[in-house]
Amino acid sequence: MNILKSYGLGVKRASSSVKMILVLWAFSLIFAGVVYFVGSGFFAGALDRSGLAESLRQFDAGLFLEMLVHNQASVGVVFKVIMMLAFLYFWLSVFLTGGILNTLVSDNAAAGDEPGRRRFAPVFFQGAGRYFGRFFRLEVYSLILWAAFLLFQLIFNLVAKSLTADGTNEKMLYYMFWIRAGLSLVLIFFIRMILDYARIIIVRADTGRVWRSLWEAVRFVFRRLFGTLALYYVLLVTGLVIFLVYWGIHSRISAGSPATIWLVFLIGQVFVMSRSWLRVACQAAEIAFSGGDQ
Amino acid sequence: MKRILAMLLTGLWLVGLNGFGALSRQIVDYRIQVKLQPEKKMLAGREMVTWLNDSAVPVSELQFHLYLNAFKNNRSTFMKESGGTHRGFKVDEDDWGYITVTRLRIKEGEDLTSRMEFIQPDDGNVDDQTVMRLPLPGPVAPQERIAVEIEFEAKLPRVFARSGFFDDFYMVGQWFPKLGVNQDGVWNCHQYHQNTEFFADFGIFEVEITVPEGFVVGATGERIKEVANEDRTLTYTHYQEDVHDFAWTACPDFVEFRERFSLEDPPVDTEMILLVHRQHLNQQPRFLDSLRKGLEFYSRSYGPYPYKTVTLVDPPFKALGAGGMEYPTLFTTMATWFMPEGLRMPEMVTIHEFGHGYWYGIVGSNEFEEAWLDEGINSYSEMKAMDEYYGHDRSMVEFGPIKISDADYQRMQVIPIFAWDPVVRKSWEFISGGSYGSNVYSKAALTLKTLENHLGEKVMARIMRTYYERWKFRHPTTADFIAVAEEVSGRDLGWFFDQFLKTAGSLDYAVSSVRSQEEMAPAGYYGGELLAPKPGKSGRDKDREKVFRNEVVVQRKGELVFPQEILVTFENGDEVREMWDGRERWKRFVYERPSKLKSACLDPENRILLDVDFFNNSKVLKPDRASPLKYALGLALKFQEFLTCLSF
Repeated sequence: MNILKSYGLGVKRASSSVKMILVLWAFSLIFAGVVYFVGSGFFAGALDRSGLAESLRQFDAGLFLEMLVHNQASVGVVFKVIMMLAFLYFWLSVFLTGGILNTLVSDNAAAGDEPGRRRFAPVFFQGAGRYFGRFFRLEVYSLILWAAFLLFQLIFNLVAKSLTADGTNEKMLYYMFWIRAGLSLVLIFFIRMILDYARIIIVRADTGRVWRSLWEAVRFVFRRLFGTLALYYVLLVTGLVIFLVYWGIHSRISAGSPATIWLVFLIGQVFVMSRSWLRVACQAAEIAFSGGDQ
Repeated sequence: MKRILAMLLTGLWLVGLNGFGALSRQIVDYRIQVKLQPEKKMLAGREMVTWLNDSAVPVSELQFHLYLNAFKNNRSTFMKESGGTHRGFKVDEDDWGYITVTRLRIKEGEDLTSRMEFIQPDDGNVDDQTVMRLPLPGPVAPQERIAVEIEFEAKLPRVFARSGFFDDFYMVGQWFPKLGVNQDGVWNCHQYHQNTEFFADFGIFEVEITVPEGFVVGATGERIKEVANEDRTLTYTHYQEDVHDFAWTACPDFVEFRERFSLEDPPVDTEMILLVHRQHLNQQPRFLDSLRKGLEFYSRSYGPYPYKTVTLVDPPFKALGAGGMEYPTLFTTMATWFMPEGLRMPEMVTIHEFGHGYWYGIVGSNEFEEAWLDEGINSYSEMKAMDEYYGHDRSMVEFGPIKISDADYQRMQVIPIFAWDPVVRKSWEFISGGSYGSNVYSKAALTLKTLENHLGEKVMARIMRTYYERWKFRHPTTADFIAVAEEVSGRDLGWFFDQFLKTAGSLDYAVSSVRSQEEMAPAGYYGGELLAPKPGKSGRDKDREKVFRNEVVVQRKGELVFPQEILVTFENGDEVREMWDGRERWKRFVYERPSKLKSACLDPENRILLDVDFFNNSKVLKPDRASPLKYALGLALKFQEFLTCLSF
């Protein structure tokens, strides 16, 4: 199946998967809720009944930094909680991916690309549970790809160091930094894309051969390098456009009153939902692309 | 006639004291020839130094600083204290630095080389060779001069702490045998420590610098001669009177820019020389603009810039250890090729280091013993200059809504650490480099800003100008600064300086509590009569006008004392301003009024910048819910956005 057709199908499937998007959004909201309560306790404690709380309704970087400096220990605790939640969410996301893929693949198999023929929740959560172990193993096996990524970083560092050792070309230091950042992002996206296809292979074949699926995915991606990359980047650009629209709206609202603060938060939730939509669209498009090719 | 004679005698005495046109009492006179040997990273030098015994007692020895020996090995006092790092830059153990005096004799007289010995007046570290003592064959009588010829060679370290080289960039500071300061017959000549800078007498410097062709050279003072030698080297001669040090730099990658700076009031005419590294040419307009601003601000605030040149040196990226350093009429700034406009680091460093031309260069306080007199006063001056030119709320950082002022920055330095040491302390006696920096730069700057807010801007301006005028080209102490401040302000400021400069405590006042309670109608026995409240909710009398008992308790949480102004506001818009001398640990204010209290705020205009916690300076009766909501929801949303990146 060609790239644009896959993309279109992915968008269509995502747009009709409202329940799935709501589930994904709801989980992120639950995690954000924990952060909200932790943050709320921190900020309420730090600001106490200080008159400066009102001044901080409009952001004042100097005051804000001073507040953080005065509450360094609490900042450390909040940061640890956030890191722990992010770690948990990562594995939850692995779990949910099983649900997303099972739902999308089951719909394809059951009704020739017509969604909604079976009840959503059982298919979604059965899939999430069924594939979690396999996806967990996939994450472990993927360490070999991440090791290759680190090796690339190491080699790049050595090259950069040799090019800039004499310090006579300072611009080169910055160029190297930006090139490395850009290449790192490209590589991260590339590895994640390979893992997407590996998961699709696992779910479609309902196989426990995780290692083999990973290498099949690698072969598939390299065989269809232009197509897989193009599809992924079309989806990334879609995400970027969504983000720019969100940022454009978000940055124009001065959140000083409770009403505007909630409004900004609600707009943020629409953005998070749109990201969940994009996630489903991405998976659906990749399923379509890989299915059409096989 | 007697009057004319007296004036004549006074004039002659002054001429004898200073010579015609001299701005300082010229105690030293250095004539140096130095040759840079780039292949060996070495200097070969000859120095003729003449010293005037300006004390009332004979002096039988000389003491010299040999600062480069701080980098001689890992057991020097500097290296032991610093662990080989300075401001984040690390020593390169393949490139140590040192200075060796190879020959020393009285001018056209006895060879004294064998008499030299290293001494360690501060810590007794026998491995430290940064101070050299030279017993003289005979004492130097009061007002007598002695001339000494010295031959020396110096190896420059790879730069990590002010002086040294990187590739073909050379920053040659504190590089020659340099006399200490003799005060009343006693030498003030400290070792080179991690936290110490320098102290020397004013005088004349004439230095011939020989470098290979192709090097661009900058140095203290005016260039008076330039000679091309047969061996494909060039010799530049620089001359400057009324300075107490001489530094120079050489690098083939410097691009030189020269521009005149003139002011009519006060009259200033000087040449700005910018030596910008080829890699940083994009920053040249920022250097030039901030140097102009520095010249203008300091000349107008304190006194006209008195020298004919000022040289800005921009070190290359890998030699930033040489950056941000002051020498007379020359300073190093700090920038990188990529430096967003909103990050005003080049401007701040340029103004600060230029400012040292005043506070260190002209007002020559002892940086070893009372570093706040140059760093603190200069940070205060820098803060004012940055505020004036870049905006008081955004003078350091300005990226969209993120604005940070120089005062904010100084407070960030002070809040976490300054209670360990007092400001006035010998620099090597601070518990750490962090404590030294926080106290000597930031706390001292905030102390002066707080004093300005306390006395008024005009009075403070007069204090600073008087201090500069009275002590320029001399060696003032903290006591001298305090004396000027008290004289000009007409106030006893001992309580202020004793606390904020000489005590290691913190200043922290807080509004401890605010309460407001409606007063009850009378109930119980009054004059033998039992009064019962009228029926109603909680015994309140609906017909009676409501009266609230409003109570504010303020507290002194820190050790230091400062008079406090308290602004109490009520829900009906009334305001009451109270004064509290701040001496007791706490004080209660009670107001019986028909309106509820709304808030209480200490130091409502944030004038006491030394108060370490602005957040506890105020309290409201009803807490503001919007701010915690805004930041907590914002944090939750950012976290969700982060999670979406994790899962896509």
